[in-house]
Amino acid sequence: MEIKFTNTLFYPRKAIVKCIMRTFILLFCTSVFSLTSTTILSQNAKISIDENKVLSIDQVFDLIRTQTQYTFIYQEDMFKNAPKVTLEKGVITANKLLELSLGNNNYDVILTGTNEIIIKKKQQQSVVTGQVKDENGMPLGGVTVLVKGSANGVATDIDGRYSIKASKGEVLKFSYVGMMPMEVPVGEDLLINIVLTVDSESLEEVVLVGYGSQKRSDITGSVSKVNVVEMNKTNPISVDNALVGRASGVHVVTASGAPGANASIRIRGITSVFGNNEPLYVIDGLPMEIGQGQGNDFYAQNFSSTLSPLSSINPMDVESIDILKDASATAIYGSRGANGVVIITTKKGSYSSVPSISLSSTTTISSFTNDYSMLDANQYHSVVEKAYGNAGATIPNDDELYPFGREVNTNWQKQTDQTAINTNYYLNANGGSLNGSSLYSLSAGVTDQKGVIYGTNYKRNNLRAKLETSLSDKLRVGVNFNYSDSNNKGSNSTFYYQTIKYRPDIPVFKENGEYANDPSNFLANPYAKVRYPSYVDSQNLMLSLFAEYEITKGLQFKSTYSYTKGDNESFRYTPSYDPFELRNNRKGTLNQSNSDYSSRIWDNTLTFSKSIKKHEFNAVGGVSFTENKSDFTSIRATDFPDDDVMVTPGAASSLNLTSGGTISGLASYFLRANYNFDNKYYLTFTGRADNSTKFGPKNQWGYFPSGAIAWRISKEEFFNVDFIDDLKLRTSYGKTGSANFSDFQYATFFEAGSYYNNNNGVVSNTIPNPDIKWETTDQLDIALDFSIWDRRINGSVGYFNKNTSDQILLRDVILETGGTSQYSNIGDFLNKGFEFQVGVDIIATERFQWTSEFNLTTIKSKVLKLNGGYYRNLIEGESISYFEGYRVAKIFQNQEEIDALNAASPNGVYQSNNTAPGDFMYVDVNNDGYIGGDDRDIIGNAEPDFFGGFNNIFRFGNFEVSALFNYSVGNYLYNSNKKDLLIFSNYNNNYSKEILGAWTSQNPNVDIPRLVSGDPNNNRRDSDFFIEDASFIKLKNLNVTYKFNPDILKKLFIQRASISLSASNVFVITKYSGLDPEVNYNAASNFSQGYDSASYPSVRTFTLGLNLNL
Amino acid sequence: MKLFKIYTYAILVLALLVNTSCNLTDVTDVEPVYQVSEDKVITNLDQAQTVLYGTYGILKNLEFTGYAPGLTSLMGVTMKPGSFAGSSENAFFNNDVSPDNFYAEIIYAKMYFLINNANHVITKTALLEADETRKKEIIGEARALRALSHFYLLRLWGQFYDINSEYGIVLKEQPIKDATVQPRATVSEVYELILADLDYAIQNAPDFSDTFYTSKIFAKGLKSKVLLYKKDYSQAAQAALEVIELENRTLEDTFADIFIKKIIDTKEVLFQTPFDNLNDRNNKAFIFRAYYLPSEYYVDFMEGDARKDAAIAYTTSGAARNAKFNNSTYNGVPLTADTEYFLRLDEVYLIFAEAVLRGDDDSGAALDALNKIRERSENPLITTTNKAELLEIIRNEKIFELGAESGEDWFDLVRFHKEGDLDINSFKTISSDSKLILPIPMQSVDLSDGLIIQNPDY
Repeated sequence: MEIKFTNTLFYPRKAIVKCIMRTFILLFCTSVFSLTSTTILSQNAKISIDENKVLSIDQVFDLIRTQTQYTFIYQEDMFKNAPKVTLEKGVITANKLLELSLGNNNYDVILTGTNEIIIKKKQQQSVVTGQVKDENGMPLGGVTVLVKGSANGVATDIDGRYSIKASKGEVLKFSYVGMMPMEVPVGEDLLINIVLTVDSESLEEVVLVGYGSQKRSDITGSVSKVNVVEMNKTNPISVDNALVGRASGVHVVTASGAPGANASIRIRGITSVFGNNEPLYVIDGLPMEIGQGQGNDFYAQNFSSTLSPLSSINPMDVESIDILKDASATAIYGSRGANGVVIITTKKGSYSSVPSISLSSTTTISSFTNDYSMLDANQYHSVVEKAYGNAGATIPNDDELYPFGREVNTNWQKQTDQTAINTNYYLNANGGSLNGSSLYSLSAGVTDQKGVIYGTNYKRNNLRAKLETSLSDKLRVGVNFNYSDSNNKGSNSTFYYQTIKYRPDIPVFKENGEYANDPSNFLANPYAKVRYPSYVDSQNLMLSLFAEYEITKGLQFKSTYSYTKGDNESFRYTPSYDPFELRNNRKGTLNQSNSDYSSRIWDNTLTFSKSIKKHEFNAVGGVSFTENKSDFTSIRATDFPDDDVMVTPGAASSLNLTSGGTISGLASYFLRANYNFDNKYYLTFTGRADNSTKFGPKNQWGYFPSGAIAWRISKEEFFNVDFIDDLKLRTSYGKTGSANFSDFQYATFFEAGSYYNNNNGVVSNTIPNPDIKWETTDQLDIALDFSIWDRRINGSVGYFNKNTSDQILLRDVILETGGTSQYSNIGDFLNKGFEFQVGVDIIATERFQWTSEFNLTTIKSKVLKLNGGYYRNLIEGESISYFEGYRVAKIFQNQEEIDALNAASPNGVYQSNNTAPGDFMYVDVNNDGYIGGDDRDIIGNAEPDFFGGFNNIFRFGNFEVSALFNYSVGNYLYNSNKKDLLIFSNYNNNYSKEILGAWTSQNPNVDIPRLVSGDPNNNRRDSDFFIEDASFIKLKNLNVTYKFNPDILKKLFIQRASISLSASNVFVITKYSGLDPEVNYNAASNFSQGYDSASYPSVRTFTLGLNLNL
Repeated sequence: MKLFKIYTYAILVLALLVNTSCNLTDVTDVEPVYQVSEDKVITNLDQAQTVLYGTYGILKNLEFTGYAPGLTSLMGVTMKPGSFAGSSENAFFNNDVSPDNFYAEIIYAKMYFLINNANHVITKTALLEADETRKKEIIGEARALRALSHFYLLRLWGQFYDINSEYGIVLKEQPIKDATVQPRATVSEVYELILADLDYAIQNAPDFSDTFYTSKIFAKGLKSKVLLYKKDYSQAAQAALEVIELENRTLEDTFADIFIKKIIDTKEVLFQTPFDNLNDRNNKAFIFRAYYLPSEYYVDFMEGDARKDAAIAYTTSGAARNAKFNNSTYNGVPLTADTEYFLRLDEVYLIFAEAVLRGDDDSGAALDALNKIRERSENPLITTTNKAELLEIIRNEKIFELGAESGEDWFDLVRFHKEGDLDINSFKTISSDSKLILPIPMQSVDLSDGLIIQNPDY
């Protein structure tokens, strides 16, 4: 009888092939795997069989034992029921005999040093797979699946799927925050699908707060959690842009469509004039201030020569984003909390024996959502002639009007575009050791984003590693490493408006092959301009080490040491053939600047938690030491030997160099204590004391306390409304600060740069203010969190009131000090508004699900008091960002109207001596009979009345569709393009085709004033003609994802795969006449937020993405 | 055992936290970088020299090199507003400057800024333990600069022509710590400090070596000018004579040479600002053709004088341009920068001529000095000995020699008017004598809580 032991061979071999496949796919390299059998016994050990016989396995072992020196150890009855072995007469190696008897895979055979052979039965492990869903049939990602009693565990993926090795009879435990845990024994069926039910007692979504985390249900402050999975469906290049429409109270406006462009983010409004109003970012525990905490002037100056450290984070690496908004939540960041805090954590490993390896690649094509159509050369010349005719001026002679002949017609937009293709690759591996003591997450990403304008692009390489392990039961250590290398070409120097405004009658090249240019000014032609070398290079490194020690149960000490470094180099070269260079007798100009920034932080925290019956208490206290340093060198070098090779400051004939830097320190002590009784009444106290070197000796310390209370009404006895599952009222009040401005204004300091006869001397700063101190913001927050109809509707509605006092403004000082003004804490600002956020499971059936998330924020800002201080156009009682100018009443239709107004004017002229029909008539606001400076009025506000986002997720079959809308209502934009493109001034630049519809007596019912050279009525003056209502609603992103069937994928040894197609900026509904109402070209400026100069219009993208999970 | 371990670790951690010398935790023990605090800026002579260079550097600002000279010339007779000029410039031209005039404010503030930095040098260098001679030289240079700036402030904003007047200016002898208000000094107190500073400089400042720095001879030259304004004519003549007789500085061979040489190898300049196309750039030449142009009066006045071609140029369209500050070049590259002459020897000759005539009635000496200038510029010599006539000739000679430069003609008109030698209204329409000086900038008066008194009639 021949015995076959092949029944269990198939599975492991498949696993090996799968392993090879993975390796092959991942590493693109081949390696040879040899399969070894149980050749554990010596090759010389031979057994001779004297006759054909049938033996039990026990008898076979006896046979071997008698003929060799080997002895056997095994459980006595192990082979009781095993089939017998038929042996033929002859000689066989002991190995072969053993193999025939035991088969390959049912037993572990171990040879000890003393020639004992230990035989054990192998565990019958199988791979159990399945999917975890909630009661509504929604897949649950992140569910922990554990083999009970072992350290073997995995987490489900976003589709709720898992696969885990387990033996028959073992028990799988499924657990997830906010859900009742479930235990299922492994039986014959290796497919175990689970439905977890909500644990209504603990809605335990975890929210990250400063220096710790809290259960969502226990939160007393205002914290918005961003859905990162949804966010990444928009294929964002950087995190800031991706926050558009995601959270209430958070106003995000993308600066432009340039590759790598920043966004401006205002959380509950502007609090500081000189400070930067971007939120504090805390990335994996590392606080990061935009503009290096050096204030807004610094940020604005360096905006185009450095890349934001935020852009160094690959959004694909992000695991969670929590936005802290009220004082209770932000006070733990004390002096940096006034603008809100965005906590970003990157992916970390998971307790899973199977590594989760994901690979994704996306390809995007982009084009301008909209562009201006400009006059061709013929139309341009006819417009110029008409305008000169209307002005009664002599038409410029042919040399000036046709410098390159009448035949030339150049479409500059076409000459300067390129095919904009973006590619992104991302590779990530997450996992952990079998016993769960070590976790790892590794990733690498490559981003290559080309802009629509020639030569512009943004490239980034990311490397990231997060490792942690337990050194003992109580001590855990880890490291976090994040490096990125970015390069941004051209988008800081190539401007769309310069391109379109260039005269269409100039050719690209002259007959001699040189670049042609408009002789009336000294601007290079756009084709040449976009080819000038210009880039910003940036390297960012974030490194941190931590150790966490459990002193006793409930008491933990954690120490983290972090180091951040950012280097930037900006390079901008204007070649010698540039017309302006030629005019100035220069042979090329190079502007090069290098800046570097470093920050080291040492955080130490002690966390304590304890619950006694219904009393729950937890607290975190700590100390933090921060030192920030920055340095810069700017070089302006002129006169180079050539334009291609020798372009480096060392090759220039003339150099001008400036340099500088800062250093500042912050020592902080903080505490947060939470108490709750029976999950019904909550109390939170948070406070921080900061000691900053930015201020003088008497004001170095700032104290920022806050308190919050919450009441879960739904837990009260008297409350019995069936459809309301959870209702919590919470309120907080507290103080946060701002010190995000340049250092050391409290005393007299001397700086270099006062040159005299080429000696570099030092001079004093102007007028120190020894009393300069923190800006403080007092914030009140009242909100109601609710959950109704079996938690199908969850939401929050709240009111906030942020009062900033001691705001630093300029104040006049007596001139005998040698200066005119000094910084002083004198302004009072107010921001208040409502926030509303709701998530609804509209349809939740097995086949079809529709989830909708909606948020809305209203905000009003007001300057309460200036107290004699000033800055730009701030007025008491007005909002912070209003527009001022004249009001256009109408277009004058005939001379009689003008004459009548002139006659009524006390000085004989209503507007201007040369006003004629077709010009704007402005409103005489103060009714004094003529238009003067005091007729300027407030004509709009850059702040929206309300704004928000609306995201919808549809799931059916293998498809998932997400549609994100964002909207803004009541905000105005300064459409500066209208000034340049619709109102004629001279023949130095081109105009929009719309100017053909300018007013004439035959075409009177239009809103574009007449064509007239020199603009004698000054129709270009700031007026409400240019300030437009830019309310809009936009389909910001549409994403369709198809998930391949896992059963099919299995055969390809892929766990999961999906393909997605998404489109951004799909459509917009707006009255705004510019290219796109969602712009903010002065993202770095606090006071000209709503400014549209079309420096780089926004783009529409179509992205094809592929995600593989091996 | 285990507990012991915990305690050991806890003590180690605490030791780290408490230990203030630890590099990790002493983050707030930082000094600003690339800027020096007041107590460390001057700890040796080299540093004193660096602050002194920085103080000199303030002179290169347009407030000193462009606005003050141009606007004072608009107040006088030699300039008119150019095409870029607006209402602020016209106010000077019309001798009707309001207390909130932008230019008046920035010139006033910048002059005090120079004084403040000079005060840092003066007070801090004095405390050094270092070579006394060199110390005094540095302080001498700084005090000469402080005197220059106080004098410029006095003649624009104070009643410099009346030694008994209360309307002097605010005197600053110490560096400022904050924006504390200080009242105005009387005119005599102002003169006293200026002259004390100049006497110190005459004693201690370096000997002349370079036109870009203050020196003994410049201090003495400026002293003669200050004394002339103070009406100490004999002493003024004496100081001027000493400058001339020192022969440290001599007249250029031709008048035109002054403006051809500008800053290179000049023989005649006592003190002036440098310029180039790098770190010493300024925009003087540009504003002297865009904002401040030679007036018709001046162009007519220069008619027939041998200096006209060196002083006035014409554009292709025939408009008059200031040839003294036009088309400067540096290493052959045309620049929009230029120098400001604070004092030249030719002016010292004319100061001497007027002072010796007024103080000592010595028309012979006055004529000698005057004719020295006329001789150099190849103009006919003067022979009259009539005092009044001669005074007027000397005043006119200053316009020929120094017109359309720094507004000296305006101060001469004011002085002559106040001496009763002429009626200023026959040159410019001045609504009242109170318009002979500018109003103290409103910002200072308003913020002073009544401590800084405005000039009469403003």
